[in-house]
Amino acid sequence: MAPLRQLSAVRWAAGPWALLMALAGSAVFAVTTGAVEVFIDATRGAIQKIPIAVYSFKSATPVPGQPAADVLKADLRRSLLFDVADLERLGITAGMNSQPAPEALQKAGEAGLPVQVWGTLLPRGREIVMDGVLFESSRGEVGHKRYVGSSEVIRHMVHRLADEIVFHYTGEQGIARSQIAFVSERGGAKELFVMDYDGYSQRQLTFDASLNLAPTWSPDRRRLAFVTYRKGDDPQIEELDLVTGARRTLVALPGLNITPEWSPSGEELAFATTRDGNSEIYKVDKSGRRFERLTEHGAADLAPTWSPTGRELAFTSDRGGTPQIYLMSADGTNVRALTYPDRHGSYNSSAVWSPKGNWLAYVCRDERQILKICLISPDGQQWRQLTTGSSNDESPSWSIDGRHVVFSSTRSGRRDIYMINADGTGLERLTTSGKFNDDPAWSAS
Amino acid sequence: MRRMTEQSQYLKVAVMVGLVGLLALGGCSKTNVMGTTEGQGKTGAEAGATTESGGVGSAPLQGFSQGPSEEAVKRQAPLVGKADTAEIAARQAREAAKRELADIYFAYDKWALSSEGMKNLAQNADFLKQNPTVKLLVEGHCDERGSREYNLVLGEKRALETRRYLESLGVKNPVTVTSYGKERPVCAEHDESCYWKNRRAHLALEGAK
Repeated sequence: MAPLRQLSAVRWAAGPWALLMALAGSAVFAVTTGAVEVFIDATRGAIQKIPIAVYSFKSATPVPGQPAADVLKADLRRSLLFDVADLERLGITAGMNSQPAPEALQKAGEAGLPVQVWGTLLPRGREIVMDGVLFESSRGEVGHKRYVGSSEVIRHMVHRLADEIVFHYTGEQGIARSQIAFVSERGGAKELFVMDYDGYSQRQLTFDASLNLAPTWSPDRRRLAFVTYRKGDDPQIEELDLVTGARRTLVALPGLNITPEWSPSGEELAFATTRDGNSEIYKVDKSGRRFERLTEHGAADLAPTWSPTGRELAFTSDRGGTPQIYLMSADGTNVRALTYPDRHGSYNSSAVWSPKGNWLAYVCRDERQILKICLISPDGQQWRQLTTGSSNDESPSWSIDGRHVVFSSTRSGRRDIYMINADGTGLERLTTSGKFNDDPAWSAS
Repeated sequence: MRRMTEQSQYLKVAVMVGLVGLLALGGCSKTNVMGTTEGQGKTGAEAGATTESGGVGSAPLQGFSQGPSEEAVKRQAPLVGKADTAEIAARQAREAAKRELADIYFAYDKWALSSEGMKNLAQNADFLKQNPTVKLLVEGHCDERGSREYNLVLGEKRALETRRYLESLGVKNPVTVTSYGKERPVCAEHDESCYWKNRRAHLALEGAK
């Protein structure tokens, strides 16, 4: 019999909030001083993960239950909020019934697992009913979730269950339901695609046989703005409505129209255009009618990204001679540098602001002329290189929980999309089809 | 349509899908519809809780409960535009009708013309001045060693410099400038034997015999 881990003196009190308070956590505060925002990352040590037991789903359908449990474990692991226990190593088996035997639940509780989850798959006509049970060792069943659908959507049922568990314990929107839009050349031309956050269900969105780039999600996940060359010689910014399939030109100013980015409210689109001769940053309201110019400088200003409050923007500018990251207020005032050549290298570009506000990810080019992903705090005080190696890594995009970055990389020999935790761990490859997959954009949940 | 279960404790609750309320489109053909609140209207007697999976905005989370309402999860592929074959054909015909000229090359991270480039352009300038209605398209391109975004701008600088020089030679033809950054490389190797070929301004004529 495998030795049991003895629970320490900590008793998991009733209720999810008490459980969370028992763990050290990190909090991010936004303080506004005049026009400048300061995001204070009050990290009190690494967050302690909630130990959780996930039992294999019992299935009375042709669909086996183990894969569903595997998806749930992967979702919970990726959230970085849970420590998924290896029940086999602990010698805990659920037994034959639709719910784990009481002895198993007790053994797991004594092994230091305060939260336990299991599920069942039952047939209903041609569909499947998934019942997920959340159980706390100190108080019993917390509640159920029940999903109905075809066998094709079992992964998505599990993703919802995972996000319900994350929400229950943290009040946060989990990422298991989120989508990643990207560009792929697998069909011959660079077209827009979309996939689940874990790389499954890759689907083609455009069939333009032209060049489509730089997708950006509206906050309600309903629309994608992107750059297209299909209308003529100059790139324009179009919007694709994923609900109706309608396409709409948003920006068609003379010159290049590039690097679109929806504001956190979804009311405005920031972008860059060379209609003035050099690249300048503008924003336009979502109707596409009211334009407002934000930068006024002979240098190239491009690639805007919004702070999560919508009050500030970061962008790329070569006004200092080489491309660097700058900050400005959402009305274009108070422009100041964030990266500097003597501290951060001579080529920094393509910043994206974390939805939590405490970090920006961007593309940094090193002495070997190789592109990596770097992180910098908005006050410039903290800096880290996120990716390593001799491959070209670029096009970062944040998950909604601010703990993961999706990016493209040539580390496999072709260009593919990867995700990584913001602390540099958990690198995962998401695409393997075709030889060019790039420009990922991570949606809300 | 969804069957009401016998157990009264399982209530079906209409759910507002996503942050945008969407109209339920009639009845049974749900495969192409995003985010409907299923079950409304058709039978009247039941309102369905629906979540579309993947693609468009997911329904809000509802939390755990002892007697949970059922959430119907549907496979939704986003409605996307099919290929506009007429548009594609027109574009490809236009491409085929262009007459390509020799590319002009540039140094790494730079958009200044070399003397070789200037000589090349001077030869093209003669032809252009003799055929003033011919349209010239100048596309700027870059090698892979910069970010996608900044390379779009660098490519345009190369194209603009090319146009500026031609105009300084007296060329008055209509000249369109664009940039493909590093999105349309002519080769894929990761060394200078390929890089230099991509650092180019590509010239093409339209309306030329």
